[in-house]
Amino acid sequence: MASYIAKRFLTSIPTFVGVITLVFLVMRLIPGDPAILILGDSATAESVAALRAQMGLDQPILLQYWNYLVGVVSGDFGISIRTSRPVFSEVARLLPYTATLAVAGIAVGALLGITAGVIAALRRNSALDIVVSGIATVGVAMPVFTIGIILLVAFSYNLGWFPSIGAGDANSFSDRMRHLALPAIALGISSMSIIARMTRSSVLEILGLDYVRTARSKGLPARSITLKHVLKPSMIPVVTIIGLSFGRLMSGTVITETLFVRPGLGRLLIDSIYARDYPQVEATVAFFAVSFIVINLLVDLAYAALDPRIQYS
Amino acid sequence: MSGTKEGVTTMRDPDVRNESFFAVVVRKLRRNPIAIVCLVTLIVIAGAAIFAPYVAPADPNRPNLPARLSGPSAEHWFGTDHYGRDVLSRTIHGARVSLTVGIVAVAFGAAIGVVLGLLAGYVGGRVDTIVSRLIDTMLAFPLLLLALTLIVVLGSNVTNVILATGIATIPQFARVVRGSVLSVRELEYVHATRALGARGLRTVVKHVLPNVTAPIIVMATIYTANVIILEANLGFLGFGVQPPEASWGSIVNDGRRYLAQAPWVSVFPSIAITVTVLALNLFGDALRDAMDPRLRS
Amino acid sequence: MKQRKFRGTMIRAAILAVALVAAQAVTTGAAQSIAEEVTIRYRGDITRLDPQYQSSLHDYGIADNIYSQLVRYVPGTAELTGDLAHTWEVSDDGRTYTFHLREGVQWHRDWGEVTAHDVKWTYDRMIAPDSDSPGRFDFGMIQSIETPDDYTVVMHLDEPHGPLLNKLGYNRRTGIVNQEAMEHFGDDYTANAIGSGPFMLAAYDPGERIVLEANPDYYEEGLPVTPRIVLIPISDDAVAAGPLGTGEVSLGLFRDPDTIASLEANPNLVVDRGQQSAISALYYRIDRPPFDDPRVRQAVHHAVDKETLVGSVLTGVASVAHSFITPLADGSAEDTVPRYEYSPERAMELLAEAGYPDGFSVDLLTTQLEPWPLVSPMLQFYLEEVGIDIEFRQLEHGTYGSERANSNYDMVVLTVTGPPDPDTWMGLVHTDNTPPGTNSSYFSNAEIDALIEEATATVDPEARAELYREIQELALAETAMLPVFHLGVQVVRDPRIQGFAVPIAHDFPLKNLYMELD
Repeated sequence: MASYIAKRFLTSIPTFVGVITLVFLVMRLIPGDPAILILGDSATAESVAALRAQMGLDQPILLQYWNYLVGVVSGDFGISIRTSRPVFSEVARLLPYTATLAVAGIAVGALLGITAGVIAALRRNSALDIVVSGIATVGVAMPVFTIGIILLVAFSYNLGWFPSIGAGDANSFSDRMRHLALPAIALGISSMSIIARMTRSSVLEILGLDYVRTARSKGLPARSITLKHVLKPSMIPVVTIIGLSFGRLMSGTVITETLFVRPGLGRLLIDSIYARDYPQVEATVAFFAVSFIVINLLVDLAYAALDPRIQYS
Repeated sequence: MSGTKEGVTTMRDPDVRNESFFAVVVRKLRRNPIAIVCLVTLIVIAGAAIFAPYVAPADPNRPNLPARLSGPSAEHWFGTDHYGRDVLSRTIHGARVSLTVGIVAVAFGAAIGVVLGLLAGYVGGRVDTIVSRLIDTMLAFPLLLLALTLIVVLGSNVTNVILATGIATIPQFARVVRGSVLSVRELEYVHATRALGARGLRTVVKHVLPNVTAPIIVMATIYTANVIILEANLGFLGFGVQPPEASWGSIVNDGRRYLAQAPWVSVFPSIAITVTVLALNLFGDALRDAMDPRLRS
Repeated sequence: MKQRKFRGTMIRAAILAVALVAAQAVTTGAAQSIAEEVTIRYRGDITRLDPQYQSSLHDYGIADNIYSQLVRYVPGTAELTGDLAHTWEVSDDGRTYTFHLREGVQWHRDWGEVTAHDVKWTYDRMIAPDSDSPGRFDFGMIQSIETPDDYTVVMHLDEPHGPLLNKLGYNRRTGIVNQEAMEHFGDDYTANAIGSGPFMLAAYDPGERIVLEANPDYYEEGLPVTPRIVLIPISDDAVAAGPLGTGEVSLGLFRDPDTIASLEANPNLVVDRGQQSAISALYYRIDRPPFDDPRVRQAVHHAVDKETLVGSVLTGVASVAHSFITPLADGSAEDTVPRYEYSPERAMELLAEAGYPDGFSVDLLTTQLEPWPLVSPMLQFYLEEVGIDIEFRQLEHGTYGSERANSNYDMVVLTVTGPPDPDTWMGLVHTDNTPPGTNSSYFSNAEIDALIEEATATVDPEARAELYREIQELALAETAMLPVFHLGVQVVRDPRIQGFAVPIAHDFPLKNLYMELD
């Protein structure tokens, strides 16, 4: 097991190098000049040049790339152009916000999705299946921001049950939860459908397997069949989807954090792209890449835990 | 699809030896009312998109400032937007842009993804390693951010939005195809074909490709829906298609600031998105069921 | 019906908000109590609080409250008043400015008294020949600074510079800093900024909040009024409207006319309108065909119905512009410059005379920065009506900025904001200021260049104003650009918020702001 993990980490190194190189190149290819953005449209040519020099952007691109790689290796991505803060400490500061949102979003999505999927599969092609699948699919049929706006208008602007902006008072758990509720539900609804669909088809698949048929024919009560034989193996595709939709989830957090004015990595990234804050974008994307690699590893390990037939060596 | 007539069908479904695979699928779909409703819906929407200039009651881009933000009426069924443009006409023309983006981007992404996946899965070895790393690298970027970054680089017009969202779907297709090829490759009959001396490319085209067609079609259906949503999300962040040209996403986003006074600007195109995406998804599900030999009823 | 429901909620939200703040209310007078803390919407994050260096537009508003300047504008007006300096004199030759400073003004957090040496150090650092501060170009005419005593600053200029006082009064790179504090904090300075203004920076979490705390030693008696102000960065107007409606924030600046209209319909909010010291115009490349022909430029002027455009799309947030100097400044020729009536027929005739009976094709570069996305499509519409085919390029603001700086356009829109002095907009028509400078039309006229230099070197306000009026009339007779609108800004607030003057540019004066509690 340990050697498997070590091997996975080694093979991840090229992916990581690829990601950080790609993001460096892409940021330099993007039109737009951080100096002009900071100084505004009324700036004179001289002041733009002065600021560029101050930010080291007048250096040859290969030298910039070299400095960047040296920085990455030593764990120092530099100082943000937009906020003048060490970029990695910003990522570290905002990570808990996004992680909380993502976990809460997945929890809501999994809860709704698995329930809907199992019901739909057990009552396949019945009216219930159609209704449940339909409701579950509406989530995927609406952009996250539409779901978010509906929730905001209904539960914040009109009913006043939940706040509309921010992450809440850091010292008050209940206040943070109140701020988390709507964004997490928006995210959960949008990931629920995909989980529901995967659950439905994997439950169907398993219901068709011999040992379940046997169990059924032996007259075991439906409920115990469902739980014992169906639900646990069905978790495998659900876990896969959580791994696979990590990127989707991150896209979702970008939108929900923007709409609900929540601090977080998604908004950090968007704001930094707008400002052409190269170091901050690079560090944030590198962080996403590492998370992706780690999450996929965890997903593979979860397979092993859920399905005894799979073993890594 | 003549290739499906030999051998391959046998492997899929030994009971229907005399019927081609696609005939089976069509037969199953025809028995599924949901699939038919979805298909009809999609045909109507696609028809509206194709014949937009004839169907739409007004010029979608012609402003009429005195009539701005007026509610649904006999003259403007879906009301007017902040320039007094007819929302119904804009929604119909928006279908053109949204569907084009969805379909062309997925066709583009699928074409490249399939080739990459086939290469990686079938050739294996070093090619597989390189392609897999490439796929991993692209997957490590969230889809939205990948597309968004590409649009910032390329500039936002319909072609670039298609290109950006298309590129963003490549790794997803490549990954699925590679997986399918790996499993097909292990099947005995492919081994047998190889042992008989069939050349690599021929084997791929003749035996492997038809077997991965089903998952690709299902995936393409669902990804068309995903790209329509993706484009809408890009519009929300201000990176959608160029105005005055409009997609559903950009009309919804335009209307966001008028939600209190003129909800119709956003509501109608939102419904269009939801209905289309819902139809695509449910039809994709029906296709999947119809194509899965284990789920014959 | 929807309206009523909304209102009911608003009242409930308001009651809740009152209950919340009432708990921590402070009593200032006999009867009136004010909120201890006020939360307001701000447009963005702070980049750097070293005023002389890298300053984003969002930094100016915060620096406005943390730092004192030599002089400043009376909030909400273009009128200068003393700040650190209580009085000042200009020599007859216009080359020497003497400022007399207030005594006893204290730095934040016990960093001592503000003296003339701090003023000298601040400006010397910026204008030093090896300085890489962008401010070196704004204040390059200052040759040397003397401090005869602790409370007197004398600036010597290489030549007279009429706009100097207005530049010194503008909150851009003019905040006076403390040398010891800057050296002490080094790279951590922004989080520990030390000024002598009404507020101190108490906390800053990018993307989350900026917290300002009243400076207990501020030199003006009884100010600032509110002990603690929390600024929440929200860049999008439509998003920011939500928390104002629910009472989560009590004040915000808005530009988007339709968001403002929906907020105005809310009985629990009030809107104050003001004019910005800014000019928004459409520019065309005069240095090459087809806009090298004055008839083509006149056609553009006749083609656009500015009155209808500004009146209906920018309702209440902007006024039609005829000239390119804000009416806030002395020397605006808004009423005397040539005007071109809306007449598509006349425009088509002119195009035909110029040899373009079938029009021509050009691109129009524009930005997503509000309120341009509302205006630019209408410009396209009007121009296409007279046969000018437009390739519309509305780009994200960063991309737009570099496309404009690289002169990659035929027509471009641009808003230029700055101190309410005519000099701010002279770059628009000066030959030496083509992109990345602001002269986006590539306008060039030797007579105007000479007049601009003369006006800059003129100190007498009346003579200066006269020269600027002449420049505007000449430049617009040659249709140097199409001025479109004078931008306004709207303060949307809880009616209990008092004492906040509508800013004229990048200022954000918070010292008089308070929220009444009943």
